[in-house]
Amino acid sequence: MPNPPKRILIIEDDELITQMYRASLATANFELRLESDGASGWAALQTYVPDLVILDIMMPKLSGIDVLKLMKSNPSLKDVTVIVMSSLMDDDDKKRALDAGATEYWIKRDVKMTEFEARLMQVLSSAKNSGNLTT
Amino acid sequence: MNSILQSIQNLLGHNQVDYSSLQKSIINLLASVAEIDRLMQLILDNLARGLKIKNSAIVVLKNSVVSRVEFIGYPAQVPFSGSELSWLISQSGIIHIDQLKNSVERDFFLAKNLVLSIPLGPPADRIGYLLLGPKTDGSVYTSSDLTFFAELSPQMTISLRNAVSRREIQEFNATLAGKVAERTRELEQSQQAQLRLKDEFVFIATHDLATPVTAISGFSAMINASGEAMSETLKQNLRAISEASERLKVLVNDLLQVARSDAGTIKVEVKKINALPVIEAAIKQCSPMATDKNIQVIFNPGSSNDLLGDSAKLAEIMENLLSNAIKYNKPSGSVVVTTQEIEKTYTIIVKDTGLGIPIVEHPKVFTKFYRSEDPEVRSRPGTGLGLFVARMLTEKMGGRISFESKPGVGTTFFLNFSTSLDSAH
Repeated sequence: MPNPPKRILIIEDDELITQMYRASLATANFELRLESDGASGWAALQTYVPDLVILDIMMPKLSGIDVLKLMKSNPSLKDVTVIVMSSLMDDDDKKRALDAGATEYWIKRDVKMTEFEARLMQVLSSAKNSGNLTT
Repeated sequence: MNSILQSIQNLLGHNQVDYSSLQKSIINLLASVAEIDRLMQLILDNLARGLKIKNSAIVVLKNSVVSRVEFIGYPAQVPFSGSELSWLISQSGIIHIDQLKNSVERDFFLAKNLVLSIPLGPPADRIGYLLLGPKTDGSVYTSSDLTFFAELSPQMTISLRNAVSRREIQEFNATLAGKVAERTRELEQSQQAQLRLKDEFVFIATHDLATPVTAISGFSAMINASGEAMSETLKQNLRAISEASERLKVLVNDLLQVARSDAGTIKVEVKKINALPVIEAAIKQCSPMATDKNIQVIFNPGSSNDLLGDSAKLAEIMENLLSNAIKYNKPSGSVVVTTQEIEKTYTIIVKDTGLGIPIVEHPKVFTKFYRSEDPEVRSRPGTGLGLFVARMLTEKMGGRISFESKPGVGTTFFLNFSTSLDSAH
């Protein structure tokens, strides 16, 4: 029996970037759900608990940091793996995201789209391992 | 016996005024006291004592309106209005209450308990009035008194006018100073607002530029990796897109840093970092450009690569140095990156086999918008921001950047950083 697809929620307001992620992950065994701002992303999370969230920071309505904080204060969402992907490059932007509970902080321009799927799989498997350890 | 003599002397004293010493002391005042309110008060004091006057006032006018009043001997504040005095302005000489027939004018004198009005200045240019009440002993003003006032009034007029002007200048200066301070504050605020706005604008602009650049390089990398059959021309064109987007990435970044340095908002977080992954990532970032130009990039890391710095900033510095080393290299040249730690100083060395920098240009290398005059260099694209940004960021981290260069042989850049806090300063 094949593995069920990993559920990935992408919260990103720039359509070009969303399209790029989708193109890069087209052949992967992922179930993708796309939300175009922080507020609709947070609304989706009320009924949809994914395996992984790819989260932008600078978004209208609710910022990525806001979404992260909301997720961390919610028992059913606090353990969901979150990869923040931002174009903000300063160390303190990264620190703010990690402090708010992000699993990883990636700078968009530094992530090769040819390696995107592999990197996501790596994060998912290490999250699963650490999940096994704690339960 | 003594008391009788004293009372006789007192009696004589009432009628005997020492005009010359009174005049002397008042003239002395007029010459020495510049502050208007104090001058008015002292004149009244001296007159009251010298002539035994019960109550008196000096009224100063400005444009026929009462601008200031000093009293002496009144039980409470006595209001003087410009309209009450308007009839006085047309009078050229001293007025005694007994001369007044008109009931309005008499009423004014009676209401203010006045006997004499001495105009200060001619009707057309009157500065005010010396207004005098009755004498304490009930005696009348003598003709000597009137002569004394007539002699004194021109000098009083001049001194009062000077004192009023002086006060006006002071007040004007105070308002001016206040206005200048206020305006300066406003300017500073608007300047700060503009700087914030500029910073915000540049930040948004670069972010909005960075996103499509990311998309371009992402999509071209995916097309490249798709393995689909492409003609040689198509492959070449795709490589051009990749290279252009790499260049844009660095440029957008440099612009952001320059704008931030202008606005004074560069954020550098200095802490212990490992340079190894940062340098490796920068080399990887530049590898398509190096491959394209057939330049070999070699990395010889030392055993310890910890330093005090900011990894995001170090990445930018390395990308700038590497892209220069590749861009200005000779065909089939090389770039060697070496790291070493000696006595708590961590050094990154980037050595190229490129065109080199003419010696006359050495002092200008790190200045904003510096570009070599060498036509070989000019023929290659560049903004002249890379090394400026590299130095700015290095110094923000507490490091130092330097170089050695020989035209035609190559250039070597040295980055020095502290490895521990106690050696930082």
